[in-house]
Amino acid sequence: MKRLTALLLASAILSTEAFANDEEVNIYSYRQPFLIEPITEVFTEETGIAVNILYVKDGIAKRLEREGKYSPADIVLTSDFNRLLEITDKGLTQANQQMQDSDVIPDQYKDSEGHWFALTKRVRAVYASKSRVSNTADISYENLSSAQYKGRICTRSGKHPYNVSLVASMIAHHGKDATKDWLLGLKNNLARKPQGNDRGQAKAIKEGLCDLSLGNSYYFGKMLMDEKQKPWADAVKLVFPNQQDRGSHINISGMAMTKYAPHKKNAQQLMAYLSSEKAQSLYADINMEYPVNSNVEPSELVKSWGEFKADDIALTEIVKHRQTAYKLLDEVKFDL
Amino acid sequence: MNNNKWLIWAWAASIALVLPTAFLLLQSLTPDTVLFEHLWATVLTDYIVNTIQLVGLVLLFSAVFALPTAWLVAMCDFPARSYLQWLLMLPLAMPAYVIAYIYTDLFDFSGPIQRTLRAIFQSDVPVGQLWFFDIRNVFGASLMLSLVLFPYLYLIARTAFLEQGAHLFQVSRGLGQTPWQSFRRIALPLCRPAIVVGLMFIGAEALGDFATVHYFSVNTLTTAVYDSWLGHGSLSAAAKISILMLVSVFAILAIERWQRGRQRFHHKYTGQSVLFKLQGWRAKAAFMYCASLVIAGFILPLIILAGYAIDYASFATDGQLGKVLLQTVWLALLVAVITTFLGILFAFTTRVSSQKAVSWPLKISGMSYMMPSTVLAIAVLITMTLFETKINDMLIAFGYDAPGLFLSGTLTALVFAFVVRFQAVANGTIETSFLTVSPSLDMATKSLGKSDTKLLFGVHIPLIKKSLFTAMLLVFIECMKELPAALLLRPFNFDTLATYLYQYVSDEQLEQAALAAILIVLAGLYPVIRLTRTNGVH
Amino acid sequence: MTSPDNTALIIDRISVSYQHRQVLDKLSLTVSQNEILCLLGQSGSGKTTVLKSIAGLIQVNAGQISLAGETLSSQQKTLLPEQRGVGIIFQDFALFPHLTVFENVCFGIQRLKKNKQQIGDDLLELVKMTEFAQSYPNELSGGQQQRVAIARALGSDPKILLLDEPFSNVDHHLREQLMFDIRDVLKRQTIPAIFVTHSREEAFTFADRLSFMEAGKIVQEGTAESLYFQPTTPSLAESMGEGNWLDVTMIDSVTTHSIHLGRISSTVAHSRSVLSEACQFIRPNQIKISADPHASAQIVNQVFNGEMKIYFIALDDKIFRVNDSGEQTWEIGTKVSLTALSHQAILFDKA
Repeated sequence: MKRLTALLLASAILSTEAFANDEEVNIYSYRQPFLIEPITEVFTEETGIAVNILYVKDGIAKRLEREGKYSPADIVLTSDFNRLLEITDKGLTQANQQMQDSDVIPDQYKDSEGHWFALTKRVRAVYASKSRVSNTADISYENLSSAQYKGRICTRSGKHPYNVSLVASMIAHHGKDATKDWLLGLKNNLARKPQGNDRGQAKAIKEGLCDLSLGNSYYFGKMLMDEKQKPWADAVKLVFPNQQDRGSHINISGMAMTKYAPHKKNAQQLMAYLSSEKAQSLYADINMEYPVNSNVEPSELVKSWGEFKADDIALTEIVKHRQTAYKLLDEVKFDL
Repeated sequence: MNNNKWLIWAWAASIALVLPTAFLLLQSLTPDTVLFEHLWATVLTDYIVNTIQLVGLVLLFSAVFALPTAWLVAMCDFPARSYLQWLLMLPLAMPAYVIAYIYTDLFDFSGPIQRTLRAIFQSDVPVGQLWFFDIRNVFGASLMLSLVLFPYLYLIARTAFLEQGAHLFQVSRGLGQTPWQSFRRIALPLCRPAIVVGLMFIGAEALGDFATVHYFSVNTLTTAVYDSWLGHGSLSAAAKISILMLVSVFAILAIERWQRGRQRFHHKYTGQSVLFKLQGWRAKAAFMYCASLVIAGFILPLIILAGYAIDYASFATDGQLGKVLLQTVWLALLVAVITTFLGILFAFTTRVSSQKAVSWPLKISGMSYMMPSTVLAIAVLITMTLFETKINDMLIAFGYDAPGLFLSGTLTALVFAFVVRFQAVANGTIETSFLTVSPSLDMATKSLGKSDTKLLFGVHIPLIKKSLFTAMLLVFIECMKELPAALLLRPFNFDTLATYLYQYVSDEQLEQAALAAILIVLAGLYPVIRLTRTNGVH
Repeated sequence: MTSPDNTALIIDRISVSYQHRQVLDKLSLTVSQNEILCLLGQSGSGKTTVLKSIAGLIQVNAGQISLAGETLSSQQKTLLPEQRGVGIIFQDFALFPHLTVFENVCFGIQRLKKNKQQIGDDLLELVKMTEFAQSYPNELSGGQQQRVAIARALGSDPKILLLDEPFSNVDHHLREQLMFDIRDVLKRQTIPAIFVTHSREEAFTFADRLSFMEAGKIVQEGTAESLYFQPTTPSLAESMGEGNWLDVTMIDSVTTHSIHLGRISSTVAHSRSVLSEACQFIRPNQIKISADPHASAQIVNQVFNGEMKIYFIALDDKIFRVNDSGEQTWEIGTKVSLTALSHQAILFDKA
């Protein structure tokens, strides 16, 4: 039995001793692998470089800190802007000058020093019931708190990164006190306690529980592709808020190269690929997101939702108010 | 091997196993009061209340589910009893977060139940606002956890009821007590040690649960530890909270033992029991109670999963799933073999040595089970990385190539953490089985001039084979379901079914990975059924 | 034997089958007030089943049981065990291990009774266990545990006490005293009892009357003496004590002849026809040994048991067992002749 154990143990160590190989690149990812793998598979086919993705739910920054210069990670992928900046701020990344010098990504969506780059944009949109909400043109985040929507709004948890980001942008525009009043008003208008995910809100609208909800643009597209969820999407209209004034709130998914990336060359190659027209159009088609590469058009479906005006406030400006946003959500007991 | 060699091995292994906990203890002593005080002033009390509520409710529900069913199948005859007695074990194969997901869907405003109710009552009254439909809270999380954890207690209590024999109960009835009074005054108190063991297992699982409470947004102390480390970056605060949890658990166990005092239960009772034949509504009620638990904890979720899997067949299997299944089974087997091996080492060393202190490896190595696996995983990661960094620095200083993260970056970390966590499970079973072997056999073997090794392999192991198998099965099932440690520790290109499934659950897309969920259940099913067989349920 | 108004328990032709096997077959028996009846028999004869039937722990298929004028079990109704007022004592004592001695004793005392404490104390005193009131069962010896079990059973004022092999787990040297003490308690409390055993000594010491069971039926009832001296079946004869089987021929109404022992005279006449053949059962103390160098019998073994010497003697193809309480000792190998003392002959038909 002891020999068997030793054998099994030895094979345990050997079987994962793969990353001595140079022809690969390692990713720590907050995004679920099933969202990225279809895109990286093409990269591997073209270059022969294997892409290893490790899905990490929380604490990539902590992990990189702990692993220090022996960390196997080359690239970090995040699904929202806040966590991308957390890693950069802690000095866990290095500049990718090559990417910085190319202009496939507009300046608004990359770090001035070349540490982080956006990959896709997503709009914090509003789903409105097709049958019960007639005038959608003047919907704005601000007027979601007005009395006309009492008992008609659904949302997921206020503490979800997408909502926190939205609240932070409200603080950036209107200040802390006004945002608190807005949150209180919004909470008052809720048809039910915040719960579920963005898709669940569309479902609730279809069931008639509420008329309006906050929801990311790409979820709307994903629901249309899912046979069971299509009726939910069909019941709602995707509305871009604040078209009359500053534009809709935008969040990004992004990437950064780690400070001690062991496969720096491969990492640069992969990052270039991810922002290339080819990968960006895959992103657009598969995940229904808006590409950051200005040469790439959104997918036909996404285009059919129409043009919209995006809030052009700097993302770094919003991030400053993240902690305050968190506190406000606690103060108004938004989720309780 | 002589006595001393066994002892050295046992000590070495137990020290390795206790290292992460010890490290955490050391960390908790380092001064970082700032964050701890901040947490204490703000959220920690809420977290403590939540944790107490969660664990308390899980224990309560589990007892309510497990004890009557265990009693019924052990003592009474009613329709389908012989099937129900093993069917009741099946929920064990179901991960809690999976049924949490399924029931949320079911009880949601837009779920089928509320929809039907609205259709029946033809009203827009928000029935969904009624409290009992809202399961995204401590109550719901406890219910979900209990539905899949109660079989632990059921299995243990059922065995204990059977071992009580019939005489005590018959005497009690002869003394004028009704069956219910006899159950309450005799059968139940007699089962107390067994019930405590069962509840301890369940409590540890509830305390360590991560996915279900996260899904229901119920913040517990485990969340607090996770947050303090990953969010606030304070290992010391995380360690302080973990140690706080550990100490309270041990305090509770100590109080229980003290309160039990001089009572001794380890007595073989006799008396052939005659099953009470339940008639009429009693038989129906017994059947309904047992069957509804099997349905709620296993059959219904499985049917719904199968429905998801069919609806989302196009999303399924990118060929990954087969690989993940193999990796999971392989990992679970490896851990089961190692823990069983160590369990034998500890129990045997304790037995052949006459010194009292020798039982310490056995005791210490089981301690970590009480630690939430998230906490344990953090402790393992940090201990290993410290060690690895030292080795790397040293090798570089001597002019060699740095091997990198050869422990925490490989499967070693995962295997080690699983072994640390589940050693207690194996120890419990193996230790008990060694007690059933008469010490005279040892003396007889020794008097025939045989070595310790011969004693172990020639006498003990053949006698306790069945229990060794049981220990392996229990550990195997645990490994199949274990999520938090796997999530934090798995290396590149390695997924267990649980982590694979969790990427989808965390995106609220369980439907797309329903097949993985079914695989977890099915892979757990075989050991669960074997377990019921080897433990005398026919 | 007993007048009807003095009868506590009446079992009238009960049958019990368990797992398709007939365990009791139309069994009847009665127990008088203040009587201790012993059910004797080999294992599997159904003794314990009789107790279970009375206590209501097993389903009775036919017949009727009544206790102190109340029907416990009949075709029409069956009382639950807790409604019967029947105390049970088991071989394993069955004390509740999580309760102290005192708590055990008080377990069955009705809640209504105010002076529970006093009753408990009295019961413990009755069984001489007062000083152990606060002990736990695992701290007591077997005999002490059984005393507590008796006290506990008496606490619920039973109308009858059923004892299932109560002394078999008690140390041998304490057993007799315990039997005397418990018998004394039962007599003082005037509680009838049925006592099951397979030990002749216990039956003789403890019981007023014996019933011998075989294959679910009672084959003989009576005093210890009548069962010992006039057994009606071979298995009863053997159960009552050791003995030697002989093939005999009837010579006249008071004499039989064995090829081994020669003529055997009986103190009581038998009714078998002359020259018919039979089996005779002869107790070890009914054979006399005398030294005889020319005899064919030879001592092959001897044992001293404290009261008498037991000799094993080979004669032809048989080994005889003979008890001798005399002064003289015969060494192994001694040639002896055996003669039967005159006694009440125990005769059975040849199988």
